[in-house]
Amino acid sequence: MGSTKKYWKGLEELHENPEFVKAAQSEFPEELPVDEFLADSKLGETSTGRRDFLKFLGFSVTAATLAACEAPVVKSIPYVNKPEEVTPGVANWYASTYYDGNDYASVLVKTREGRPIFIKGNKIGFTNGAVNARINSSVLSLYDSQRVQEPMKGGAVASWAGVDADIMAALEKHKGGNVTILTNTIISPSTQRAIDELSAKMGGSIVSNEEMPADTLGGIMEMEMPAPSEGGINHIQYDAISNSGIRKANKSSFGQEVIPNYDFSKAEVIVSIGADFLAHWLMSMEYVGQYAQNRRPENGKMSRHFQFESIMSLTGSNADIRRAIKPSEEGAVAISLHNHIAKAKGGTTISGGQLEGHVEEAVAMAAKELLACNGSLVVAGSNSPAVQTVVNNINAMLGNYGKSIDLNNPVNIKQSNDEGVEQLVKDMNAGKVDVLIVYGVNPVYSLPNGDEFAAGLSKVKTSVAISLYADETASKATYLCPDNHYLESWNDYNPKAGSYGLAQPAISKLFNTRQGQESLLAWAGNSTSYHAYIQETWQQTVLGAGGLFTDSWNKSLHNGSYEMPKATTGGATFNGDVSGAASEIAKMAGAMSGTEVVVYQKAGMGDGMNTTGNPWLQELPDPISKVTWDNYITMSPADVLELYGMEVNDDNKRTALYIGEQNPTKQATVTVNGKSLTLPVYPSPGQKRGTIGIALGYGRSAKVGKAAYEYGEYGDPVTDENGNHKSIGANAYPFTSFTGGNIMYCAGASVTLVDEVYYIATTQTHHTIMGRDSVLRETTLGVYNEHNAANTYNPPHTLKYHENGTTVDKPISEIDLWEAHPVENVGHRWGLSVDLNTCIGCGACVTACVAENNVPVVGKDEVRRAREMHWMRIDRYYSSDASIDEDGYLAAEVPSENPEVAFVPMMCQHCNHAPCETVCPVAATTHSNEGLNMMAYNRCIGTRYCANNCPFKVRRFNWFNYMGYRKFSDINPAQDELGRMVLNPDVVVRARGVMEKCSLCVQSIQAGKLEAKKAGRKIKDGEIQTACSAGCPTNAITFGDLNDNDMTIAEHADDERAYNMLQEVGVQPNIYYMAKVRNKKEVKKKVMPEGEATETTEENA
Amino acid sequence: MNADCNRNSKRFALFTPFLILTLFFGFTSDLSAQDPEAGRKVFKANCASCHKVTDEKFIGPGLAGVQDRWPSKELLYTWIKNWKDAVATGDPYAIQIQDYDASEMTAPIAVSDADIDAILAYVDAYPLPDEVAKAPVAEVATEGEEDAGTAWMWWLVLGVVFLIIAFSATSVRRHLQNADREAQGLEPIPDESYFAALGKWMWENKALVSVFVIILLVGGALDTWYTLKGIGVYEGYQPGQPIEFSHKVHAGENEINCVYCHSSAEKGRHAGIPSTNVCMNCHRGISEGTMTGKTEIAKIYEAVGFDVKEQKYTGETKPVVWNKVHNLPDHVYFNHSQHVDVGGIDCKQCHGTMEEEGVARIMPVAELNEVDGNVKLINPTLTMGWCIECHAEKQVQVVNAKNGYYEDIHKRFMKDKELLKKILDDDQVTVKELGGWECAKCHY
Repeated sequence: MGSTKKYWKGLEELHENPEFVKAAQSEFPEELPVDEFLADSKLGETSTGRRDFLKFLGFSVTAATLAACEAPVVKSIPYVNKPEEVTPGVANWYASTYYDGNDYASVLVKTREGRPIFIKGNKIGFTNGAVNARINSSVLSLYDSQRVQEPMKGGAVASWAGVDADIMAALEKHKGGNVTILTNTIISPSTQRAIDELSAKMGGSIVSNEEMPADTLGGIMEMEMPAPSEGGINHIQYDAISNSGIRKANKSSFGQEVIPNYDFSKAEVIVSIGADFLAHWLMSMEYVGQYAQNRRPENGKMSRHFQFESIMSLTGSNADIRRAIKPSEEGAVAISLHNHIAKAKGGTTISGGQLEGHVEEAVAMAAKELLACNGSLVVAGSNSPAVQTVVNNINAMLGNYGKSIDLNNPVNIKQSNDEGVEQLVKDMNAGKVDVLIVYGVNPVYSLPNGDEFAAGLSKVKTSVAISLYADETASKATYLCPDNHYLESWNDYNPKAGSYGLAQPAISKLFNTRQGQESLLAWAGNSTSYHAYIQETWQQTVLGAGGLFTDSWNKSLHNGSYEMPKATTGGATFNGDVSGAASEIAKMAGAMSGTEVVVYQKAGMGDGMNTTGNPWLQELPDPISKVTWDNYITMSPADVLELYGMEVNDDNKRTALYIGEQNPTKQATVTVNGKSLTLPVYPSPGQKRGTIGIALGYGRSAKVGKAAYEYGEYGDPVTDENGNHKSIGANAYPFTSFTGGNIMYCAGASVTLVDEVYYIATTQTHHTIMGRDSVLRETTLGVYNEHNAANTYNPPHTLKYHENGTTVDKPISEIDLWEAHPVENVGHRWGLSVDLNTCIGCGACVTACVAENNVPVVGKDEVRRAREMHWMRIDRYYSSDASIDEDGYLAAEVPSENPEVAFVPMMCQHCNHAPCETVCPVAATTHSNEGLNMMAYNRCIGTRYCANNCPFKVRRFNWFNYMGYRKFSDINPAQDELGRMVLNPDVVVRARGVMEKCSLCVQSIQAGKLEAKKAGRKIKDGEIQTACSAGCPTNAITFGDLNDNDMTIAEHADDERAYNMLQEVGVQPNIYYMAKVRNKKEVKKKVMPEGEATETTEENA
Repeated sequence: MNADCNRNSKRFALFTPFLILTLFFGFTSDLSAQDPEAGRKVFKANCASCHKVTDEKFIGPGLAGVQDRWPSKELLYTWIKNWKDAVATGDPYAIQIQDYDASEMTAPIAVSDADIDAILAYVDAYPLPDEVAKAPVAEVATEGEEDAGTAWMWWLVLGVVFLIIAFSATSVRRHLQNADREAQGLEPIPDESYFAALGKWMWENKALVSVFVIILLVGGALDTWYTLKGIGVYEGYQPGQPIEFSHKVHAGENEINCVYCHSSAEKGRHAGIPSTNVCMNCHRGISEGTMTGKTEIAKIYEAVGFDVKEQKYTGETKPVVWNKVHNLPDHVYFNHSQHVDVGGIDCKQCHGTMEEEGVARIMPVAELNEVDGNVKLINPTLTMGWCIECHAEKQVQVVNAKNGYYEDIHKRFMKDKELLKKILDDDQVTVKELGGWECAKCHY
């Protein structure tokens, strides 16, 4: 029965209110008000009628179509006068040197048509071809449009002549007054000479820095070393990361205020107390090669590396035995080690050195091995002279001086005069400084009391900054004299006694800048070019005068370095006061309270001076945390749970601490001495409980590159509450302190939770290997030395196979789904070998790959969505206490409290049975008869089937037009007119909607083959390098032709350590990994005291 | 020892007359002394690299009126043979002009008095009848394609006229029919529109109309297909250039090797447009051409900053902005040295007979195929089909290669006899078989 019930829309309808009726009728007007529109008298006045409009429309469509058909006109401008050495399309390489006060390395600069586009290490020179990510990314900073482009006076553009006149007048006026020049450590003899010349002009005849060791400048000192006198300028050297403690300790221990030359290759046992010598400590680019040399187990021996540290550092992650300690315990570890050695050697023990059981156990073990081995090295990262004094005595007792430590040929870097700069800040604020020239340093940003420096700067009568950027200091100086980038400059270096380096320009100046040294010379009234000036210096000192100068100069320039005969090294007698040091250590440890914060250097950021604004470095995942584009507080997972107010257990560690795309972390405020900053919390296994770590280099407040700042989802700048562009992270330098005249990098802090979520962009969300031993194979040296790989650590995979009614185990290699691709033994078969033993995980290969292959920068928001474009990644795995068999998978997901770390570089595996190739509907990815898995971008239609089918997840999809979309306009250098110049012209810039992946640098393969063909010879071993193999500081990555038995890679592929990743899948990769061998005996699990998680430790048998 | 000495002197004795003869024939001319034609020869051989016949300055002064400038003919002879002797005489004019240019005149110059007389005769007689400047020959562009291009329009007009006639005819026919029907007393055929009539006609001639429509559709589709195929094909592309450079004059008439100017073709990926300093290797002396006279060459001087009058570089340079002719898309990697140096491919395989061309153009494949010795191809020039066609045919000497690289590769092939047999089934190794068809050989 149908209902006749009627519902009204309202009382208006019921009452049939006339207004309602009208409105109801016109609710859906049936007639369009055409007449009304056409009757509009104004319509006739419009200039565009309907027909005209249609005509225009038709015409423009046709015109656009026709225009699209026309041949595009491409202009081509040849040289007017072609330089002889330039052939368009052929790269030139120039030897140069990188030094920024923190890193030193001999480099080779690749230029194309006069543009530097790639930097790799130079095998000539003591750094032996090693560079890190910071150095190889420095080529991008050359093209940073945020560099200062013109000389400035009071924030306005000025002329060089005007600026020079003003500064010279000021110098003249204050002759005899306090004229100070603040620089980073000057290791350049010619720069030192220029400063001396300026000083001489100012009435002095001194080489200013009294703290400078007599031997610093090698030859130059012998030649002209006038006696110190009054007047002149006061030269203070200051490094953001100071190592003054080592020099002071050596002064009291051996009477030489130097940083000795360390040789890690001569050490069978290495003990490092908080020294991150693989990432940034002193001459890290030399140490990294020396260290790797002894990490290859092939001859049955490996160095044994003990590390005691608070945060999980890059060096610590490579250690054989690592113990987490608080920073305040560094001294105690040194004392304990000292006492163990002293007891054995019959020396006097000192008081202190109380440690937790498992640390003490490790120290005892280290002591035992140090005493037993033939050559060792103990180093400490602390900047406390007391700790260094104890370490000196340990090394002296072990007889390391004259072997792994050389006091006679000291290192000249890191001459930071911490007391001098502390005094300078006081003098400035007292109005005592008349002229201040700041060169190569950024004290407002990097001093513990940078704000005081800034305040003092305004009281200086004339302040001058020589700087690449209008950074925190330079922007506040009256005069800003823009410096050349090092790739535009000449320079010479004397990094250690008897070793010299040369830097030469690889491009003409991009802006109206002037090399700092030329500025100094100009003010000294010397108009010589700095190039001629260096030659003069070298003629006088380094190479010596004589007819052959030009020859030896040219040779040195070609090599980028020059080695003089070294002084003979010898032992040293320790005269230091260890018991005094012990009481100092006790005092320092007592002063530390609360949560101990360590400010540290990340592998990508370093000290942050010239790195924060570099998008390649921002996007480089941190080797340990795998976080990009961010600064965070590293904290032990247990501490994080406590901070969150949660129970500390494995379940919570697994779930509450999981950080992913949609799983944010929380923020915390850290307060040290009344200064506080708020940063996200990042649970970092291996971090000592009760300590936190904060990286340096973030929290900028000046124009230091666009990538130093935050951008929103559509690329708009994120602003803070004051409307300023918000910087990434926070500046941790204010947490450092002047303690006893040295800058210290740890402090007592309080940490409070800020209940606000924070999204972090990380490239790895899963942290343990979960028993997948076909991804990562590792063993111990003992097992390895039995050479029974097939049965123990590197067994071949087998499959159950039914044959004649029985089940047999058949090796994977015998089972093929497809017909084999004919690359074995025929023609070329390109491949890589990756030695997991020498891979230290530093990430230099990743940035090298980015530079070589025009990999776009995608920014934090995209990385968080797992859309990073890196062709290469380094997977980092933590060990877990749980075993799959006993504890199950869930438990195995939780990393240990103090895990062992393994790094697995991942790139396209170039499978001979590639799963990606078979699923491509348009055959955009195919196999070459040289074993390469090729990718034709212009054929790709972006179905992403290949990415889904790749077992290694190494394929990347171009979600956006990174070269044009506004989201990336400030972070992707390819969108900048200047930044675009860094692109490699031999590699195409991929468009949106296509897949891309590692091509094994096919452009280099093709170029190398062509060279060989032209020369009519076979390809030499090592002649062709991929970006990653060229960029690897430890030579862990080897490229070559697997079919050529003369090549190293063929040897590697046959090695017993060699394995293919995911061999059981049967994809037959051309990339070989070499199993990781740890120098330790069998591991047993040990239950730790109450409250501590279980800890793996070594059977001490 | 004695014997040795003897033999040597004997050899010398034989050699001397030969030497004298050579000198005689080499440096003197047996043509009559006053012959300007002979003078031109001697001039070209000995003087032309530094002097001009006119009064124009080159490296040395122009020779026109040289006799009047010198105080005596004898001194001029001395000067030409060895200017140092002339200076040694202490003559003020000789002393004055020895500082004419920073570069010294060659001395001595082996010319006889008769030669000098011939040269002077040539200078006086200049220009000889065959040296009178030719009027520039304008190159006539062929307009043949235009005719083909407009033909369809005439067909269209014809079609429209035909339609008008057809419709008028129908109308006339109806009127006639109606008149007939009226006469017969029948109802007149109702006046229907042309479209209605057409519809009716089409309905009645379904088969014909269907065939017609099918032809139209297929034709349209084919046309679209060919249009699409033509996108990105730039055969015959010949943009205007800032300097009307004639390949015909340089590579054709003067037989200059291609790689003299395009030198990086042997070294790198680009063949390269020569930089102006390369032009100046010859055009330092040649400031006039036969086709366009001075105008085009003057553009080189302007670019490189060369003052012809003063014969000096001013230092004010202005690069020449050329229009690139052979453009490959960004995603294609092509390397000239791979083809020119390693492959030994003649330039004309891809660029045709440039020695007959003016400014460069993309040679259509049909013209390339006419070149002797070229591999005959089907696809249009500079398309991928064109590249791989050639790669499929071109052979690489792998067996008994003279190139160590290929020799090594061949040795490796020998390891797998079966595969080798497969590749060598026709006893030839083509570029394709060595991977010349693989994507990553050109796309990366």
